[in-house]
Amino acid sequence: MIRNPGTEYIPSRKLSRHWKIQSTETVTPCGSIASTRGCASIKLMVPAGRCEDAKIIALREQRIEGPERVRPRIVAARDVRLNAESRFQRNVRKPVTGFRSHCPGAYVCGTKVPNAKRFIVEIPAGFLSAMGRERRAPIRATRSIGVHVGSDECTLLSCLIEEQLHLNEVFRADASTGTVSVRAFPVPSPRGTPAGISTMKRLAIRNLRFRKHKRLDSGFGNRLPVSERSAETAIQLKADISSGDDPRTNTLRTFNPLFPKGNYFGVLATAGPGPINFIDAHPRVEAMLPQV
Amino acid sequence: MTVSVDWIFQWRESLRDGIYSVPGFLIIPAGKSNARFVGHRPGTELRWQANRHLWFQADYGIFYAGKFVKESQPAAT
Repeated sequence: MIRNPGTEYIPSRKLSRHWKIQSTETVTPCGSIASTRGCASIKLMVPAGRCEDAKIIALREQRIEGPERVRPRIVAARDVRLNAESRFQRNVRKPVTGFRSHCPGAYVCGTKVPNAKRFIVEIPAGFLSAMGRERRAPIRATRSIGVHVGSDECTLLSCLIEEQLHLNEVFRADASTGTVSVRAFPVPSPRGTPAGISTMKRLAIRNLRFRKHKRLDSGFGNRLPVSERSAETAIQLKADISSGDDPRTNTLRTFNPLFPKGNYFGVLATAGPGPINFIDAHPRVEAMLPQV
Repeated sequence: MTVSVDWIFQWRESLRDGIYSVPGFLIIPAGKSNARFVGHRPGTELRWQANRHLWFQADYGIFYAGKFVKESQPAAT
């Protein structure tokens, strides 16, 4: 991405789509941990003027040659990797060999911007079981996860993944109270996966790639694919045949249920204690509304 | 909160037996009609599970009489 280390950065049309300008002031990029998969990228920006000698540290091209470069003052503008060092500010102007970029590494987590306000992500506990099916159990507790204001969906998702939760749907974001309500269900802890990268993470990030980028504080309603939501809809088809009497015979042929069920067709029973002398078909579709 | 939509179609198994009410009494005896179709009832249900021990439920449905019910009615209708 950065082909020519050392030269000044000039905003131009050649800016990759991985680079997102955070403000209108001139910025000097000092590093990018770009995903090899072209997914989410990390934006590290330095305001021009504050660090005149901010160097462009190329990632992969320079590492082979291996010279140590001075790490300039870095502001993590938005998202940093999970395994990125969180103490950027302390290591100012100390030699570093480069920014770690363990591949494939597309996932991100919350930024470490100081004085950032935090969103609280409310996750109703016990709302969905691990299989994604609805449990009728009440919501007992609410877990809170802090996500910075201005975080995007990648950030939220990664925080959820860190909490061993799988995001199902985000249905409310309230900037005034600083809360984002999501529905999530626990995922089994990933074990034995190499380098701590779970399949769930990869899947989640891959899904994100095709989604429109929206910020949390403007509210968003993106949802995971239909296949993960379909567990909330149930389709039933019941059918019965039970015998009735034939008065020409001396035997009572009417089916006599041992435990007759009065409301055989639900509370709107039309005929009686089931099943006696009827043939019926009873299709039913049930859907769970989003929790408000 | 769950919403469900269902539809019941009902026939008689024995054409010589009537249909029964919920407690088990005969409400429409056989004899007047030879039809099998009793009727159908589309309905919808709204159910809110307030907590583990309490839920609220609202149902709405319309029963449409089939040929057996219509033919078994008195002639006035």
